[in-house]
Amino acid sequence: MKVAITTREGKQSLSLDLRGGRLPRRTSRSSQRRDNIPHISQWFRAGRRRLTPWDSGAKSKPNDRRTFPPDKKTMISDPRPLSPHLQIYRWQLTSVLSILHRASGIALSVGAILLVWWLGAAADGPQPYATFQSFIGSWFGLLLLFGWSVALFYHLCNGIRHLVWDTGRGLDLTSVYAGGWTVLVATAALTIVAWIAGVAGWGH
Amino acid sequence: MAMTRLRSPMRSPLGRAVGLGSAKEGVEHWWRQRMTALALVPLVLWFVVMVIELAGADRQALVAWMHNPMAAVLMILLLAAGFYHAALGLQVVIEDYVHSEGLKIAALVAMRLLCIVFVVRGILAVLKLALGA
Repeated sequence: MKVAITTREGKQSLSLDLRGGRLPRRTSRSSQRRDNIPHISQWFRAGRRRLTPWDSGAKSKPNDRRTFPPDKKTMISDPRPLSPHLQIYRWQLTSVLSILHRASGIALSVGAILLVWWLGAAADGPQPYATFQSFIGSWFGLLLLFGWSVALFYHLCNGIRHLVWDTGRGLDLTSVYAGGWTVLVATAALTIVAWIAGVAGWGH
Repeated sequence: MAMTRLRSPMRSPLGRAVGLGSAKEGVEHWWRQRMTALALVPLVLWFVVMVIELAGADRQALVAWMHNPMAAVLMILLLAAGFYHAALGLQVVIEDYVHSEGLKIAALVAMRLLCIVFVVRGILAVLKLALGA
Protein backbone atom coordinates (compact mmCIF):
# COMPACT_ATOMS: atom_id res chain seq x y z
CA MET A 1 0.00 0.00 0.00
CA LYS A 2 1.42 3.38 -1.06
CA VAL A 3 0.80 6.36 1.20
CA ALA A 4 1.82 9.95 0.55
CA ILE A 5 3.07 11.69 3.67
CA THR A 6 4.85 14.94 4.44
CA THR A 7 7.81 14.82 6.74
CA ARG A 8 10.44 17.34 7.70
CA GLU A 9 12.33 16.24 4.62
CA GLY A 10 9.37 17.09 2.37
CA LYS A 11 6.74 15.07 0.56
CA GLN A 12 7.43 11.38 0.44
CA SER A 13 5.77 8.32 -0.91
CA LEU A 14 5.82 5.53 1.62
CA SER A 15 5.11 1.82 1.28
CA LEU A 16 3.24 0.37 4.24
CA ASP A 17 3.24 -3.30 5.03
CA LEU A 18 -0.34 -4.41 5.63
CA ARG A 19 0.44 -8.12 5.62
CA GLY A 20 -0.78 -10.31 8.41
CA GLY A 21 -2.55 -7.51 10.12
CA ARG A 22 -1.89 -8.52 13.72
CA LEU A 23 -1.66 -5.17 15.43
CA PRO A 24 0.74 -4.32 16.82
CA ARG A 25 3.11 -6.69 15.09
CA ARG A 26 6.72 -6.33 16.05
CA THR A 27 9.09 -5.96 13.16
CA SER A 28 12.73 -6.16 14.04
CA ARG A 29 14.91 -3.23 13.12
CA SER A 30 17.08 -5.41 10.95
CA SER A 31 14.22 -6.74 8.83
CA GLN A 32 12.93 -3.19 8.48
CA ARG A 33 16.28 -2.02 7.19
CA ARG A 34 16.44 -4.99 4.84
CA ASP A 35 13.35 -4.31 2.74
CA ASN A 36 13.08 -0.63 3.77
CA ILE A 37 9.35 -0.98 4.43
CA PRO A 38 8.29 -0.02 7.93
CA HIS A 39 5.46 -2.02 9.42
CA ILE A 40 2.28 -0.04 9.88
CA SER A 41 2.34 -0.43 13.65
CA GLN A 42 5.55 1.55 13.79
CA TRP A 43 3.69 4.68 12.73
CA PHE A 44 1.49 4.62 15.80
CA ARG A 45 4.09 4.72 18.50
CA ALA A 46 4.60 7.56 20.92
CA GLY A 47 6.37 10.52 19.44
CA ARG A 48 5.86 9.44 15.84
CA ARG A 49 4.15 11.59 13.31
CA ARG A 50 0.42 11.04 13.11
CA LEU A 51 -0.67 9.28 9.97
CA THR A 52 -4.16 10.59 9.55
CA PRO A 53 -6.00 11.87 6.49
CA TRP A 54 -6.31 15.35 7.97
CA ASP A 55 -2.74 15.69 9.14
CA SER A 56 -0.90 18.05 6.85
CA GLY A 57 2.22 17.75 8.89
CA ALA A 58 3.13 21.28 7.89
CA LYS A 59 3.57 22.95 11.24
CA SER A 60 3.56 20.54 14.15
CA LYS A 61 6.91 19.40 15.44
CA PRO A 62 7.15 15.61 15.37
CA ASN A 63 9.41 15.06 18.33
CA ASP A 64 7.74 17.41 20.80
CA ARG A 65 5.99 15.54 23.55
CA ARG A 66 3.48 18.33 24.01
CA THR A 67 2.83 21.59 22.22
CA PHE A 68 0.59 24.35 23.45
CA PRO A 69 -1.35 26.14 22.05
CA PRO A 70 -2.30 23.43 19.56
CA ASP A 71 -1.39 23.69 15.93
CA LYS A 72 -4.02 26.02 14.42
CA LYS A 73 -4.35 23.94 11.27
CA THR A 74 -4.57 20.45 12.76
CA MET A 75 -5.63 21.26 16.35
CA ILE A 76 -3.14 18.67 17.49
CA SER A 77 -1.56 19.61 20.80
CA ASP A 78 -0.27 16.28 21.95
CA PRO A 79 1.28 13.89 19.43
CA ARG A 80 0.46 10.77 21.37
CA PRO A 81 -0.06 7.33 19.80
CA LEU A 82 -3.27 6.95 17.87
CA SER A 83 -5.10 3.72 17.23
CA PRO A 84 -5.27 2.72 13.56
CA HIS A 85 -7.67 4.85 11.58
CA LEU A 86 -10.76 3.20 10.11
CA GLN A 87 -9.38 3.54 6.58
CA ILE A 88 -6.35 1.39 7.28
CA TYR A 89 -7.81 -0.91 9.91
CA ARG A 90 -8.00 -4.51 8.80
CA TRP A 91 -11.52 -5.74 7.98
CA GLN A 92 -12.64 -8.71 10.05
CA LEU A 93 -15.48 -11.13 9.44
CA THR A 94 -16.96 -10.40 12.86
CA SER A 95 -17.23 -6.64 12.43
CA VAL A 96 -18.27 -6.85 8.77
CA LEU A 97 -21.16 -9.21 9.58
CA SER A 98 -22.18 -6.97 12.47
CA ILE A 99 -22.28 -3.93 10.17
CA LEU A 100 -24.16 -5.95 7.54
CA HIS A 101 -26.76 -6.99 10.11
CA ARG A 102 -27.61 -3.38 10.81
CA ALA A 103 -27.43 -2.39 7.13
CA SER A 104 -29.70 -5.26 6.07
CA GLY A 105 -32.12 -4.36 8.87
CA ILE A 106 -32.38 -0.80 7.58
CA ALA A 107 -32.76 -2.07 4.01
CA LEU A 108 -35.54 -4.44 5.07
CA SER A 109 -37.36 -1.65 6.93
CA VAL A 110 -37.36 0.47 3.79
CA GLY A 111 -38.17 -2.57 1.67
CA ALA A 112 -41.20 -3.35 3.83
CA ILE A 113 -42.84 -0.40 2.08
CA LEU A 114 -42.72 -2.56 -1.07
CA LEU A 115 -44.62 -5.31 0.76
CA VAL A 116 -47.31 -2.88 1.92
CA TRP A 117 -47.55 -1.44 -1.58
CA TRP A 118 -48.05 -4.97 -2.97
CA LEU A 119 -50.87 -5.79 -0.52
CA GLY A 120 -52.43 -2.34 -0.82
CA ALA A 121 -52.40 -2.46 -4.62
CA ALA A 122 -54.04 -5.89 -4.59
CA ALA A 123 -56.73 -4.63 -2.21
CA ASP A 124 -57.35 -1.48 -4.27
CA GLY A 125 -58.15 -3.32 -7.49
CA PRO A 126 -56.77 -4.60 -10.81
CA GLN A 127 -55.53 -1.22 -12.06
CA PRO A 128 -53.24 -0.37 -9.07
CA TYR A 129 -52.07 -4.00 -9.05
CA ALA A 130 -51.09 -3.78 -12.70
CA THR A 131 -49.05 -0.65 -11.90
CA PHE A 132 -47.28 -2.49 -9.10
CA GLN A 133 -46.62 -5.53 -11.29
CA SER A 134 -45.15 -3.45 -14.10
CA PHE A 135 -42.81 -1.79 -11.58
CA ILE A 136 -41.68 -4.98 -9.86
CA GLY A 137 -41.33 -6.73 -13.22
CA SER A 138 -38.98 -4.03 -14.56
CA TRP A 139 -35.23 -4.53 -14.28
CA PHE A 140 -35.09 -1.99 -11.46
CA GLY A 141 -37.94 -3.67 -9.61
CA LEU A 142 -36.33 -7.07 -9.96
CA LEU A 143 -33.01 -5.63 -8.77
CA LEU A 144 -34.76 -4.22 -5.68
CA LEU A 145 -36.50 -7.54 -5.10
CA PHE A 146 -33.21 -9.42 -5.42
CA GLY A 147 -31.45 -7.09 -2.97
CA TRP A 148 -34.41 -7.33 -0.62
CA SER A 149 -34.30 -11.13 -0.71
CA VAL A 150 -30.55 -11.20 0.02
CA ALA A 151 -31.04 -8.78 2.94
CA LEU A 152 -33.97 -10.85 4.22
CA PHE A 153 -32.09 -14.15 4.17
CA TYR A 154 -28.96 -12.61 5.66
CA HIS A 155 -30.86 -10.84 8.45
CA LEU A 156 -32.81 -14.04 9.13
CA CYS A 157 -29.71 -16.26 9.35
CA ASN A 158 -27.59 -13.78 11.28
CA GLY A 159 -30.58 -13.03 13.53
CA ILE A 160 -30.75 -16.71 14.45
CA ARG A 161 -27.00 -16.51 15.16
CA HIS A 162 -27.74 -13.60 17.50
CA LEU A 163 -30.53 -15.54 19.23
CA VAL A 164 -28.11 -18.43 19.83
CA TRP A 165 -25.62 -15.98 21.35
CA ASP A 166 -28.38 -14.65 23.60
CA THR A 167 -28.63 -18.08 25.20
CA GLY A 168 -24.95 -17.76 26.11
CA ARG A 169 -23.79 -20.34 23.57
CA GLY A 170 -21.21 -20.11 20.81
CA LEU A 171 -19.42 -17.02 22.10
CA ASP A 172 -15.87 -18.35 21.79
CA LEU A 173 -13.82 -17.10 18.86
CA THR A 174 -13.90 -20.39 16.90
CA SER A 175 -17.69 -20.67 17.09
CA VAL A 176 -18.17 -17.00 16.23
CA TYR A 177 -16.14 -17.41 13.03
CA ALA A 178 -17.71 -20.79 12.17
CA GLY A 179 -21.18 -19.28 12.67
CA GLY A 180 -20.25 -16.28 10.56
CA TRP A 181 -19.18 -18.37 7.58
CA THR A 182 -22.23 -20.61 8.02
CA VAL A 183 -24.47 -17.54 7.86
CA LEU A 184 -22.82 -16.36 4.63
CA VAL A 185 -23.11 -19.79 2.97
CA ALA A 186 -26.72 -20.20 4.15
CA THR A 187 -27.63 -16.74 2.85
CA ALA A 188 -26.21 -17.53 -0.59
CA ALA A 189 -27.85 -20.96 -0.66
CA LEU A 190 -31.29 -19.68 0.42
CA THR A 191 -31.15 -16.83 -2.09
CA ILE A 192 -30.21 -19.12 -4.98
CA VAL A 193 -32.80 -21.77 -4.06
CA ALA A 194 -35.56 -19.20 -3.60
CA TRP A 195 -34.89 -17.52 -6.95
CA ILE A 196 -34.62 -20.81 -8.83
CA ALA A 197 -37.90 -21.97 -7.27
CA GLY A 198 -39.55 -18.61 -7.99
CA VAL A 199 -38.45 -18.46 -11.63
CA ALA A 200 -39.28 -22.16 -12.20
CA GLY A 201 -42.82 -21.60 -10.95
CA TRP A 202 -43.26 -18.42 -13.01
CA GLY A 203 -46.55 -18.48 -14.90
CA HIS A 204 -47.80 -21.74 -13.38
CA MET B 1 -29.31 -13.45 47.14
CA ALA B 2 -26.03 -12.77 48.84
CA MET B 3 -24.41 -12.49 45.42
CA THR B 4 -26.96 -9.95 44.28
CA ARG B 5 -26.32 -7.83 47.35
CA LEU B 6 -22.59 -8.01 46.78
CA ARG B 7 -22.81 -7.09 43.12
CA SER B 8 -25.10 -4.09 43.53
CA PRO B 9 -24.64 -2.67 47.00
CA MET B 10 -25.60 0.81 45.81
CA ARG B 11 -29.10 -0.10 44.66
CA SER B 12 -32.09 0.42 46.87
CA PRO B 13 -34.35 -2.54 47.72
CA LEU B 14 -37.11 -0.93 45.65
CA GLY B 15 -34.76 -0.47 42.70
CA ARG B 16 -33.79 -4.12 42.85
CA ALA B 17 -37.41 -5.23 43.07
CA VAL B 18 -38.54 -3.12 40.11
CA GLY B 19 -35.55 -4.28 38.09
CA LEU B 20 -35.04 -1.08 36.16
CA GLY B 21 -31.59 0.45 35.81
CA SER B 22 -30.56 4.06 35.41
CA ALA B 23 -32.15 4.18 31.95
CA LYS B 24 -35.53 3.40 33.62
CA GLU B 25 -36.36 0.87 30.93
CA GLY B 26 -34.72 -2.30 32.15
CA VAL B 27 -34.49 -5.01 29.51
CA GLU B 28 -37.90 -4.30 27.97
CA HIS B 29 -36.59 -3.05 24.60
CA TRP B 30 -34.07 -5.89 24.34
CA TRP B 31 -36.68 -8.50 25.27
CA ARG B 32 -39.31 -7.24 22.80
CA GLN B 33 -36.74 -7.21 20.01
CA ARG B 34 -35.90 -10.86 20.77
CA MET B 35 -39.53 -11.95 21.04
CA THR B 36 -40.49 -10.33 17.73
CA ALA B 37 -37.34 -11.84 16.18
CA LEU B 38 -38.33 -15.29 17.40
CA ALA B 39 -41.86 -14.87 16.02
CA LEU B 40 -40.51 -13.60 12.70
CA VAL B 41 -38.37 -16.69 12.00
CA PRO B 42 -41.30 -19.01 11.11
CA LEU B 43 -43.39 -16.13 9.73
CA VAL B 44 -40.67 -15.07 7.29
CA LEU B 45 -40.10 -18.66 6.16
CA TRP B 46 -43.84 -19.03 5.51
CA PHE B 47 -43.87 -15.70 3.68
CA VAL B 48 -40.98 -16.70 1.42
CA VAL B 49 -42.74 -19.94 0.45
CA MET B 50 -45.94 -18.00 -0.26
CA VAL B 51 -44.16 -15.43 -2.45
CA ILE B 52 -42.39 -18.21 -4.40
CA GLU B 53 -45.71 -19.94 -5.03
CA LEU B 54 -47.30 -16.68 -6.13
CA ALA B 55 -44.37 -15.65 -8.37
CA GLY B 56 -45.67 -14.61 -11.74
CA ALA B 57 -49.29 -15.25 -10.72
CA ASP B 58 -52.00 -12.65 -11.31
CA ARG B 59 -54.04 -10.69 -8.79
CA GLN B 60 -56.78 -13.33 -8.65
CA ALA B 61 -54.32 -15.89 -7.28
CA LEU B 62 -53.28 -13.50 -4.51
CA VAL B 63 -56.91 -12.70 -3.66
CA ALA B 64 -57.74 -16.40 -3.55
CA TRP B 65 -54.73 -17.01 -1.30
CA MET B 66 -55.79 -14.26 1.08
CA HIS B 67 -59.28 -15.77 1.35
CA ASN B 68 -57.66 -18.54 3.33
CA PRO B 69 -58.16 -17.39 6.96
CA MET B 70 -54.85 -18.93 8.04
CA ALA B 71 -52.94 -17.03 5.36
CA ALA B 72 -54.64 -13.76 6.33
CA VAL B 73 -53.87 -14.28 10.02
CA LEU B 74 -50.21 -15.14 9.33
CA MET B 75 -49.89 -12.15 6.98
CA ILE B 76 -51.27 -9.78 9.63
CA LEU B 77 -48.96 -11.27 12.26
CA LEU B 78 -46.00 -10.89 9.88
CA LEU B 79 -46.85 -7.22 9.29
CA ALA B 80 -47.36 -6.51 13.01
CA ALA B 81 -44.24 -8.34 14.24
CA GLY B 82 -42.17 -7.10 11.30
CA PHE B 83 -42.94 -3.41 11.69
CA TYR B 84 -42.64 -3.62 15.49
CA HIS B 85 -39.23 -5.28 15.08
CA ALA B 86 -38.25 -2.65 12.49
CA ALA B 87 -39.31 0.21 14.78
CA LEU B 88 -37.27 -1.22 17.66
CA GLY B 89 -34.22 -1.66 15.42
CA LEU B 90 -34.49 1.74 13.71
CA GLN B 91 -34.85 3.34 17.16
CA VAL B 92 -31.41 2.03 18.13
CA VAL B 93 -29.93 3.18 14.82
CA ILE B 94 -31.33 6.70 15.30
CA GLU B 95 -30.18 6.82 18.94
CA ASP B 96 -26.69 5.77 17.85
CA TYR B 97 -26.17 8.24 15.01
CA VAL B 98 -28.34 11.30 15.69
CA HIS B 99 -26.66 13.24 18.47
CA SER B 100 -28.70 16.45 18.52
CA GLU B 101 -31.43 15.89 21.11
CA GLY B 102 -34.18 17.76 19.23
CA LEU B 103 -33.41 16.13 15.90
CA LYS B 104 -33.24 12.74 17.58
CA ILE B 105 -36.70 13.04 19.11
CA ALA B 106 -38.10 14.33 15.82
CA ALA B 107 -36.54 11.41 13.93
CA LEU B 108 -37.82 8.89 16.48
CA VAL B 109 -41.37 10.26 16.32
CA ALA B 110 -41.34 10.42 12.51
CA MET B 111 -39.98 6.87 12.27
CA ARG B 112 -42.64 5.51 14.63
CA LEU B 113 -45.42 7.36 12.83
CA LEU B 114 -44.28 5.99 9.47
CA CYS B 115 -44.13 2.46 10.88
CA ILE B 116 -47.66 2.82 12.26
CA VAL B 117 -48.99 4.24 8.99
CA PHE B 118 -47.49 1.40 6.95
CA VAL B 119 -48.53 -1.39 9.31
CA VAL B 120 -52.12 -0.10 9.48
CA ARG B 121 -52.24 0.27 5.69
CA GLY B 122 -50.90 -3.26 5.28
CA ILE B 123 -53.27 -4.86 7.78
CA LEU B 124 -56.30 -3.04 6.30
CA ALA B 125 -55.30 -4.30 2.85
CA VAL B 126 -55.09 -7.88 4.11
CA LEU B 127 -58.48 -7.55 5.84
CA LYS B 128 -60.04 -6.16 2.68
CA LEU B 129 -58.58 -9.00 0.62
CA ALA B 130 -59.58 -11.62 3.17
CA LEU B 131 -63.13 -10.39 3.82
CA GLY B 132 -63.94 -8.89 0.40
CA ALA B 133 -65.80 -10.70 -2.32
